[in-house]
Amino acid sequence: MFSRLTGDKWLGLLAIAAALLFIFVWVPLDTETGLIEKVRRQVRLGDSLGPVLAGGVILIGGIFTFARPNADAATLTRHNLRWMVVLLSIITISLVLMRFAGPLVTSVLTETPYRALRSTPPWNYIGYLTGGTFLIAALISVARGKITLSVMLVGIVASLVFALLYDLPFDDLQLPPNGDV
Amino acid sequence: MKTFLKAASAALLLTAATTTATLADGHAWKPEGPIKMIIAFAAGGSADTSGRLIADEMTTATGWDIIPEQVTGKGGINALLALKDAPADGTTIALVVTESLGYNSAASKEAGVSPADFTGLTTTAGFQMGVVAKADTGWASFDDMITAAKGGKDIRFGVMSPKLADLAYLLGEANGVEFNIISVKGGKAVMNGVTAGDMDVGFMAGVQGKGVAAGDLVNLASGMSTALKQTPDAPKIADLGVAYNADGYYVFVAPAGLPDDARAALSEAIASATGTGKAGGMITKAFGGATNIMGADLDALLQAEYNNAGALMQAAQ
Amino acid sequence: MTVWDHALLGVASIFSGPEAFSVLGISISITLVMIALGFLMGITVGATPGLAGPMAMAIALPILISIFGYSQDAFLPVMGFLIGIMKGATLGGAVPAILFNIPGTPDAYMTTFDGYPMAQKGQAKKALKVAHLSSVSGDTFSDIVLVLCAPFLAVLVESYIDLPEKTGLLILSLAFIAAVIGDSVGKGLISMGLGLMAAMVATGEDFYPRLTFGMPELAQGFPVATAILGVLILGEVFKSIEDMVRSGIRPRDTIKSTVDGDTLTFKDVKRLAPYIARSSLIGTIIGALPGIGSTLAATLGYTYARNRYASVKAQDDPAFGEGAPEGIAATEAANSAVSGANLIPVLSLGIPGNAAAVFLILGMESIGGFNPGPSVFRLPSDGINPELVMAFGLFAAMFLTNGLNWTIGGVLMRAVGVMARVSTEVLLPVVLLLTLTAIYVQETSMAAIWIAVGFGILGYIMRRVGMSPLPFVIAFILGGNLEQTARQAFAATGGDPFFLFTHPIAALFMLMSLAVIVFNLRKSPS
Repeated sequence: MFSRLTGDKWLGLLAIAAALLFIFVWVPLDTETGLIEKVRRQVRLGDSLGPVLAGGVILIGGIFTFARPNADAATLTRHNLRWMVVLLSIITISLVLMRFAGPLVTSVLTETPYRALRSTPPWNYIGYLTGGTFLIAALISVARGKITLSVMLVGIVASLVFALLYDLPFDDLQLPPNGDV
Repeated sequence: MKTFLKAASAALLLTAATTTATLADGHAWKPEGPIKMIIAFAAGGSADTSGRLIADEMTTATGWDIIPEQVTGKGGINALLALKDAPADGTTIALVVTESLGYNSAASKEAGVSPADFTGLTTTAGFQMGVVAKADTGWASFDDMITAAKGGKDIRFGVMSPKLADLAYLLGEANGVEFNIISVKGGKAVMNGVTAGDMDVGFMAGVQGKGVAAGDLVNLASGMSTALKQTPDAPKIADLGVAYNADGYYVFVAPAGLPDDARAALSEAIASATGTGKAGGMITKAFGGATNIMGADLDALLQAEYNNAGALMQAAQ
Repeated sequence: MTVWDHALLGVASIFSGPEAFSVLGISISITLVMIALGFLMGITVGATPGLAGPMAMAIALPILISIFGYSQDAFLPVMGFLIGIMKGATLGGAVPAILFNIPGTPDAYMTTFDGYPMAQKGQAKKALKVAHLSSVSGDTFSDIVLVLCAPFLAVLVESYIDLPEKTGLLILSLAFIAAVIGDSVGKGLISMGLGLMAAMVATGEDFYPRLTFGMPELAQGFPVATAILGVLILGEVFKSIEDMVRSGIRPRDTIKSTVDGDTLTFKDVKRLAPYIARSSLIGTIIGALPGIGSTLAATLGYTYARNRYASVKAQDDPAFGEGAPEGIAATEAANSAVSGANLIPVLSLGIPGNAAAVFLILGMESIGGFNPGPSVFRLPSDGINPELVMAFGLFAAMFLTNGLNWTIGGVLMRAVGVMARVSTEVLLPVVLLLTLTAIYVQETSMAAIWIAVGFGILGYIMRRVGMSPLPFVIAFILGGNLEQTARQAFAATGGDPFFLFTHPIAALFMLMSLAVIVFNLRKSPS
């Protein structure tokens, strides 16, 4: 029976469920004041009213979508889900490389902690270049369906250009991850 | 690009010059790396501008590299939270108002900030807090407004912080009227509201200067314990029957535990920046001149504001 | 000071400003240079399939802010650059549409219908010239309407509109956007509700930052750049890369060499003029309404022109879709005419109508000192209103860009044809890295990058289920404003819970909001 539901019906149901959860669980738990509150003997709008109305808009949207589904509407397929997994893995790996490659290399090669070197070339570029190169090379390879050495080169050149673009002219800008360490 | 290159080379030269100067000088305190200057005010407003100009003047005078960064919201509490956990080595400072450490810290106990978490550096300027109306309301004095209110007009009173809302409420109570108090974000927003006619009157901390001088706005009263510099004849809030006031300052603070030499060096550098160059000119124009309270006097001021907040909240309940 | 004095000051501010360099003793201001660079970049980006104007504006904005800072001196160079991109991109979008049958920007889709057949017949140069002429004419017309209308609309709004009415107007704009965009009202509302929800995080009156799960990273709310760049840019990049993975990389068609008749004669121009004029009008009207952007304007302009052309065309003229210059003219005039008029709601009400306007508003907000809305057009009794000067500076920048467009736009169009050869599968990952870097530089926190990627996934899913991300973005921008205005209206009316219905104009806006939803609901497919 459920397999008969079109994508829009599912979307509508999902939105209705999310809206109800938001209105009745999240908002009450995570706001300090109610829908209205009394301050200085005057009534004013509380911090829960806005979120509840936002949830209400989602709820109405969900009901409309469920009640009047578009039969031709696109929907998330298994391919899309698989792509999200691939994509998020690539992004995660590259962000982890970006965050930790610098400190790792530094700890192997020098005694100085990375934090002290975070604005000293070449140390401050290590993370950005590694992570950036991986991100670009991996995505191009996936798009082309094959891995070649030239994509590595594209990745290195692009991340180097961006690194220099931000780092050389502007003293007070920091490349990832140097503002966090 | 050319201007940029010019600026870059100038900065380089300057850094070189000051480094040698400091070396020659021996053991003056200097920061380990760039200083992050947290600004608790929206970009482009007069408080933000003053902070950025002070940073420029400080860099010119000392060669320190200062990076201004906006952390706005919650009446300065967000900025204080960001500052609190930063290392207390002088590489992170914040520009807030005394009210952030006073009333707002006291009012948001669960946020967990109090003056004890911070080292005060110096105030930069005091508020010129007035109760301001548009000139074409025809009100020449505070009494005119109260008369209008008693005649049945709803008065919309714009405020930019909970403390000022309390004061507006008490001001109404003491004069036998009830204002419709409208909270907005920032003094500029109060001024825009009053000029647009969305509000009849509002608290403004100095932003009204130009409008009052031009005759578009009128200072009906001073919100402070002292008279307004621009309109000395306007009654003070105490004259209007309210035992509390909106006295306050823009103030630089650092995390608690800042070493004394760093505190002294930073306070001095900021204070002298408030009186020189573009920063000095801007502060004089917007706030009627710099006010530098520092050291033990500042500690006492901040603690007193925090301690007194409870009484005001109680009174306005 | 009169309006005229303000206008002169505004125009002068474009030329004075800090100097970039000087030619023969005449100093060229940074603003001028930035306008020209923005225009160049816009044409290039527009001509590059896979990139569009708003994308370039989004990536450029954080970089521009880092260069120019937050002072009032930054306003005109930064906004000039953004306006340059916006205008350049609509022009550039036509280039690959004509030469390679690939629209450079979504709104140039209709241009391929007649542009590419013309190019196939060897009339590529003529097609480009038609596109240029129509695009610039539409744009210029739209700008004139903007300058004439925005101040009056703003003054009108200011004199009749109080806090309850303002609340109603914001609700009406959001309702309109949610109802009109995308393939159904329901999805528009979901998208808008999500945007409102995101805007509510960590804001509010109480000192406790609501809806943050107590996470300090969120105490200031979602950084604006992460949410908007995430949903608009990353979402699009994620989707496009997947499309390439799934359906392979499309080889580019090539075109034949030039033949006779590849020039645009005065007779042609005379024949095209009525089409350009009608489409300019259509584009301008569409542009002034919030929410419906240049793609719809192009569709309407094209459809209207096709019906008209069918009844007047001579026997041997090519029909629409077979290489009729009128088709290009109708499309390009309409989509370009959006770009001036969409600033009418921005400047007079502070309400963005489409993605390009979103980034213009973001630019104004991040620099500060200029609050789009009725206060911009107020004349003080003494002294100057700096915001009015800035507004006239913006107008001047727009006309200056048009001037560039008229003079060198045509040449540039032919030069950027090469951009269509850049392979999209290389470009998009590079754009992804650049976007993430731009976000980091502005927010200096890895958490911000993760948040942006999260919003990117949201934007991707929205696109996959046929939900437009634009209501989300506009609701995210207006959400805080809406809540505050509602609070203020409630307080100002002395706590009247029905303030939206007891004030006639506010009630009218509410009725219209309801009507626009119901009307669009009925037409939605089922």
